Amino acid sequence: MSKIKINSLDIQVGKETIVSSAIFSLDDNQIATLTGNQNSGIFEVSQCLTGALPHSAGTILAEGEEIQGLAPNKRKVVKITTDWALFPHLTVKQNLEIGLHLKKLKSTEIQELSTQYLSHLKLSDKQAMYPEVLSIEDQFKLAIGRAAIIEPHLIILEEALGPFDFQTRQKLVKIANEIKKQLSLTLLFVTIFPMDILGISDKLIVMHKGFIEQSGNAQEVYESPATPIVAKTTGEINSVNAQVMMSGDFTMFSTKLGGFNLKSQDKLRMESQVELLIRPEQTKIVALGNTADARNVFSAKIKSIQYMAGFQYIHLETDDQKPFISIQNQDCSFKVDDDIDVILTRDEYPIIKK
Amino acid sequence: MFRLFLKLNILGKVLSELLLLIFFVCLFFPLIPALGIFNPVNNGLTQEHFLSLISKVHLSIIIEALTYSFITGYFCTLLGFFIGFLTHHNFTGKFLFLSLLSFFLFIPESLQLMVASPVLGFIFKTKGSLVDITYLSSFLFLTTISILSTYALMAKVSKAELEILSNLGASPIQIFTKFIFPLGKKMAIYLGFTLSIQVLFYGTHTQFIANPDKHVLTWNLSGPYFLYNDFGLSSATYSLLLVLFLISLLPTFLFINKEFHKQNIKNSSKSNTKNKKSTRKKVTRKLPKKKKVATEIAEKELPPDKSIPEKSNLEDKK
Repeated sequence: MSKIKINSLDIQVGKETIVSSAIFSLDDNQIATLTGNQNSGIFEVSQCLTGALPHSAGTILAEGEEIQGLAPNKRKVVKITTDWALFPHLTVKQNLEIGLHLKKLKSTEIQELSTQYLSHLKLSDKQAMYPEVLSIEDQFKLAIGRAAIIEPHLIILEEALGPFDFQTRQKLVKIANEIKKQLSLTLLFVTIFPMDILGISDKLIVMHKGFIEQSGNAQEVYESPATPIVAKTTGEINSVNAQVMMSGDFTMFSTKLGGFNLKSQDKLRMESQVELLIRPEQTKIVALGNTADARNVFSAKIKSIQYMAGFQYIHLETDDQKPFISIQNQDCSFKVDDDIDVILTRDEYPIIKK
Repeated sequence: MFRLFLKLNILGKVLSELLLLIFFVCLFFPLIPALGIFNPVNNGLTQEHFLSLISKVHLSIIIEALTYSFITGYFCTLLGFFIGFLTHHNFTGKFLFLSLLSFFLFIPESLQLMVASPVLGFIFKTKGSLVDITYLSSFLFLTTISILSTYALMAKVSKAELEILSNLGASPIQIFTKFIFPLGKKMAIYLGFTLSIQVLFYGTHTQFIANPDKHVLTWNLSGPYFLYNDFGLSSATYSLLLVLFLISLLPTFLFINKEFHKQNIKNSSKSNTKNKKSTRKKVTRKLPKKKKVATEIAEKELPPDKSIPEKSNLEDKK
C-alpha cells in the first residue's frame, strides 16, 4: 500500500484552477521530488497536503485513509520550509520534544523518545544548546528530527536546502538521505531546483501549469524526459531541431549542426520534424579535427566559459544560431574563441515528435 | 525629480520632529496655572497642594482605584491578546476588522460607556457597584489597544513557525498557550501595566456621569478644580498624573528597546550563520590571542587542494 496517494486532485484559488487532476503516489521509505517552475502548482500541492490550502476535488490518502478533510494538526504531514522554523527560544532537546508535548504523551515516553532520536541524529552532546549556536548541518538534522519524532505519514521539504552554496547543499542532501534510511521516513522535496536532490530521489514528479507532465523513476525521467519542459525543469538541456532522413536500427537526422546517426525507440516517419534533447554533460569537447572513430560530431566555437563547482559550463556558438551548452570537467583546457569539435557521447537521446 | 523627493522627504522629517516637539510642549501646558500666571492670588503651585493630595481619604481611594484599574487593565490586555491572536490566525477580513477597531479608538468616551454599559449591565445585572461599570466601560478602548499590540507581535512571529506547530499537531488554542502566549508574556505584562495606569486616570467625564458617589480617583483628585476653582490643586493633580504616566511608560519603553536590540542581534546572527565565512571570522575574533595565532597557523598549514572542490562529480552524475 502506498504511504501517500493523491487521486485526481484539483486546487482552485478564487475562480482560477491552479492544479488539475494531479495523480501520484509515494511509497514507504521513499524520497520523491516534486518539481516545476514557480507557477506550476507544486507549492499549492504542498500546501494542500499539509491542509493549509483547501482542495476543490479529489482525494488524499495516507496509508489508505482519506485525510483531505482533516485539520492541519490532525494530518500527520509536516512541512519544513526554507528557514526550517526552529524555535530560537527552545533548546535542541526542547525543539525535538515539542511535537511529543503537543501529542500529550507521558513525560517518561517523551524522555525515552527524545533520547533515542538525539542519539540517532548525533545531537546528544548538543541537547542543551540553542539552535542559533548549532552548525547548519546540525540545524538541518534537528529540523528533520523534530518532524520525524511524531512519526508522520510524510515530511515535505519545501525549498528546504536553503540559500546555501553548492557544497553545503550537497551535505544537507546527504544528511536527509541518511536520516531517511535510519528512521524509515517518506520525504517529499518540493523545489524548483531539483538538480541537487536528483541523486537521492527514488521518484521524480514534474509539474507544469497545474498538470503533472511526467512522473516516475528519477533517473529515467532525467535521462528520458517526455517533453522539452520536463527536460528543462530537471536540468540544463540543449534542444536541436532535426528532420528524419532515414529510419532503421539507427535513424539518420539532419540538423543545422550537421547529420546525426542515433538510435530511436519509436518508429519515426521519413522527413518528419523532431526535437533532439541533449544534456550538456552528454557531450564531449575535443580539439578541432581530433575526432577519430566518433560518429556524431559537429563543429563550434567557444563563446564563454562559466566556472562552476567542479565543472565548466561552456557556452558554444554553433551553426544552429541557438545557444548550446556543454558541461566539462575542470581539467578542460580550452579557451574562449577556440574552434572545437563537439562529440555526442551517447547513441540514444530523447526525441520529441513535433 | 529625485532631488525634489529627497527635499520633500527631509522637509517631512523636519515637520514630524517639529510636531512631536509641539506635542511634548503641549503636555506641560496644564502646568501653566501652577506658575501663577492666571491666578496670582494663589501664588501658583506650592508644596501644600501636593501634600493635600496625600490624605487618608485620598490614599484609600487611590488603593481602591488601583485595584479596579489593574483588574480592568490586565483583563482587557489578556482579552485583546486572545482576540488579536484568533483574528490574526483565522480571520480573513483583517483590514475590515482593523478599521472597526480604529473606530473604537476614536469613539468619545461618553459614547463608549453607552456602548459598553448595556453589555456589562447584562453580565453584572446592575447589582455591582457603578464603579465597576465605569471602569469596565473602558474595555473597548483598552481591548482595542491590546488587539493592535497583539497584531504588532503577530507580525513579528514567523509564519513558518506557526505552520510547523500546526503540522506537528498543535490546535489553535495550543499554539496560543504553548507558543504565542509565552512569547508575548512580557509584552502583556508591560502593556497591562501601562494600560492600568492609564485607566487609573481615564476619562473624568464618564466617571462623573456614571458614578454619583464620586469614588473614582480622577474625580476626587481633580474635583476641587471644578468646585473651588483652585488651579494649584488641579495643577498638582496633573503633575502627579504626568509623572505617573511617564513612569508607567518607562518599563514598556525599556522592554521594546530590549526586544528591538535582541531582534537586531538575531538578524545579524542569522545572516552570519547563512554565511560560513563571516561566522568563522566572528569566532576567531572571540578567541584569545594565542589561540588565534594557532588557528591561523593551522589554516596556513592546510594543503591547498582541500579548498578545491572534487572533480569527479560530473562522472558520478553520468
